[in-house]
Amino acid sequence: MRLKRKRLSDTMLRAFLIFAVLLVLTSIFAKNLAPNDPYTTNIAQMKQPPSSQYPFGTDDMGRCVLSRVLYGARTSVFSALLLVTITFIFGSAVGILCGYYGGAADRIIMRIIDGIMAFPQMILAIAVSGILGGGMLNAMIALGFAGWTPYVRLARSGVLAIKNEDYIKAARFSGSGSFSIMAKHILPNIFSSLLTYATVQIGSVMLGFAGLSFLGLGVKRPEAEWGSMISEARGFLATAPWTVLYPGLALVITVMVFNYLGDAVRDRLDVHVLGGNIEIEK
Amino acid sequence: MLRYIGRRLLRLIPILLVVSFIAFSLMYIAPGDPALKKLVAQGLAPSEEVLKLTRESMGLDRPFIVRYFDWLWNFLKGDLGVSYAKSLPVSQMMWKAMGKTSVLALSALMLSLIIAVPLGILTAVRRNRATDYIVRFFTFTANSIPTFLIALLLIYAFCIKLSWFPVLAKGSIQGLVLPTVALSIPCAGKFIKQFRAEILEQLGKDFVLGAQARGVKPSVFLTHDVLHNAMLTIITVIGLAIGGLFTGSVVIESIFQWPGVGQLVMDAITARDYPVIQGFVVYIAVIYVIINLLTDITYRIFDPRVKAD
Amino acid sequence: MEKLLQVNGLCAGYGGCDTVRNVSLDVARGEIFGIAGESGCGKSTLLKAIMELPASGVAINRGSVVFDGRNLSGLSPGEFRKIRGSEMCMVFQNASASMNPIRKIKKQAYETLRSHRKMCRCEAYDLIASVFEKLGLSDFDRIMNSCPYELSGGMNQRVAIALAMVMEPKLILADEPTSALDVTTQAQVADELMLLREKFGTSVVIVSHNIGLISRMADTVAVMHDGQIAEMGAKEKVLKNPEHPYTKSLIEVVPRLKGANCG
Repeated sequence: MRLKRKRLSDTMLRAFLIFAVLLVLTSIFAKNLAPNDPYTTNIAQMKQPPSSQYPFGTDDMGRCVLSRVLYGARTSVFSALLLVTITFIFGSAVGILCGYYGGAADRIIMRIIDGIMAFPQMILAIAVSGILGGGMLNAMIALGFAGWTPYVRLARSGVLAIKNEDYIKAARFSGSGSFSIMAKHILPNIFSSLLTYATVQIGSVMLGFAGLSFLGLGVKRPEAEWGSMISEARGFLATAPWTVLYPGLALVITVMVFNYLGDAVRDRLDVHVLGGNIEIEK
Repeated sequence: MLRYIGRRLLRLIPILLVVSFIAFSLMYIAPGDPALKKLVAQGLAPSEEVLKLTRESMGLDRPFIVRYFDWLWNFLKGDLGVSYAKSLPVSQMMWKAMGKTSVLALSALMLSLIIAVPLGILTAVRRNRATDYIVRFFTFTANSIPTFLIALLLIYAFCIKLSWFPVLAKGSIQGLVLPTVALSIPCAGKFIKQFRAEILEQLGKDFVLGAQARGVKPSVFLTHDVLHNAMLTIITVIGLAIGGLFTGSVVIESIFQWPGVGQLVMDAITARDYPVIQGFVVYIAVIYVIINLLTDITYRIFDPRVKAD
Repeated sequence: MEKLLQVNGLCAGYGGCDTVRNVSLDVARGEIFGIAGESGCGKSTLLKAIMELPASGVAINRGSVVFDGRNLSGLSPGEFRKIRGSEMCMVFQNASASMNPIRKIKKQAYETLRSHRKMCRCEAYDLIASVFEKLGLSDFDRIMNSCPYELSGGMNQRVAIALAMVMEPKLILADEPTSALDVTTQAQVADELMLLREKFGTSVVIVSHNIGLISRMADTVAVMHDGQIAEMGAKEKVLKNPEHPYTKSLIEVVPRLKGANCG
């Protein structure tokens, strides 16, 4: 029975991994796939419903929605992946060090982390990016500022759980250096829960970026990004719903794929993520 | 119990200090001269003279730490400073906005619970059957759609096509409906997932056997034993969600023009109105503290084994 | 006289497999029936199959169970639920399996009673008090107002037995009731189980790997091995003149103390 479940989750994992890769490829080859230039404005053609020349219609500046959606994939997917990778590496490293060495530094850092985590991530991100001014880089800093903290907690509690196990003590007695203990013994054991959390976070981070862009705190015009596209199109929702619909659909589908991927990873690694309630408020 | 509360409050003080420090520092992280920023926010183009005077009045010539404690002291007295843009006391602006946001948050919370508790139990009990899969698919989708998109879709359906509700809420009861629904859909989605998991876990425990052996009615058992034991997790989940709801979904409030804390902050950010932003940050921290405390206290009611550690 | 419980050719187990293979036995009214065997031989599964507890994961694949003249497989879930607790009940190895650790015992007792009969709280309270009294449990008020996690293991087990008895069922199935307890408490609980017959006329099926316990309590003894019954009969006969090689080895394994009564 368990074997059957494992095989099913293997297939699911593989399926969603393929989907995710397809999405990444689409964003990489956006240039080749887009039928028109996403930045070319054409006032004569503005707010046109979908047609053969403009499969997704045009927006208020006469730009091709499909092309912009494809280019937007680049921004959304890559920024999310990049940010998750950075926060994952940085947060986990700090967490492992804190857990392993403990002491006053550990206590201070954890208090700071508690302080940061007191704020709902999205609000903090908005505040920080608002203060820093808009733009994609500042948005990344903003989301990263809030986003690295769960990894610290996760990694630290993982380390604390196994720090006093016999095999760690044995390694220390046999003279292994701290760094090699952390790399060879500790990291492999906590890696799966960290990786699971990171994968689950990709979708949330994407939504976070979209949210910030929607509020005007993310990408700057005329960059194509799904959140900002929806924001720009708000005003004429009634007259040209496709301008909101297609970016929206793209965003939802992409997030769903990555969320399913995260779930599949969690099932496959059979991990119960500690503090899995921590999510970015959308 | 009182001792427990006291101890918990004590432990929260260091966190509050860190939070207030972050709040205060935020103003100075941003590049540029704070005095200049203040005047610009008021829409003035200042001369060097005015700048100097403003700097002095803001106390910018004094060391950072002194300014921090000054601000902290004022804060403890209830004075959060005055808004740059509107020249109103920040605390007054916050109070008004807080009231509005609370109404929205509580309505959304109640709606989410009304949806999520029965569905959470249902999907747990009918695990892996058709009902379970359908509900889970919907909640999964709900979790993947950004709130602003849900809001826009609701507006499109109910305001534009059906004209049932006004698009701009402006604090009216009628206007409350759509923002509440928009907020509660993703919230309910999260709840259902977590309630289901917890109830499944309780249903897997040993004592289920004993109750079944004694012939306890399944409906009674679900509500009195399973739900009772699951309360701990349920309360944690609610506690975490409330935090998010109360700090105002900035996005929802800005779309529907609901005059709450979220909108206040958005306007402040656009206008670079730092005292308001600071006041907001502090407000969040206070909410966090209160909710944490309430959650912990409620724990003890449901599971007397919880230690006052 | 008609038998209270008749198990005929029962094959049961988890997920379609047969842990219990072709077991037949019967229990008369007022009889104490002991099943001995090593861990994993299927004795617990047998009890769970008889009760058909949905949460146990045990399903009957073949054979039948007739209780008080009724074939249990013909019952709807609702009807079966009504029998459980009121006419047949089970006591588990760990009291944690019997009771919700963080709810007051009196609430759990009311829950049981009110699932079978309409009665008000005072009536229920008195009924439970009388059961406790018959079983020799003192300190009734304190126990009722406590949660299981506050009581000792031995006390919990005795309370569990009392809870199982509130409706005065005709049959109690006891799955390793003493295995998780210390020796003194074991004796207490064993005596209490034997009291059930005396005070309530309840039949008891007791399952244990402790053959000493079985020999002390049971009238009839069955030895289970690898899902099947190796030997069955009156206590004296089985324990003094075992026929099956497994029974023999089981008895031989028990260390003998000088003067102790081990069968």
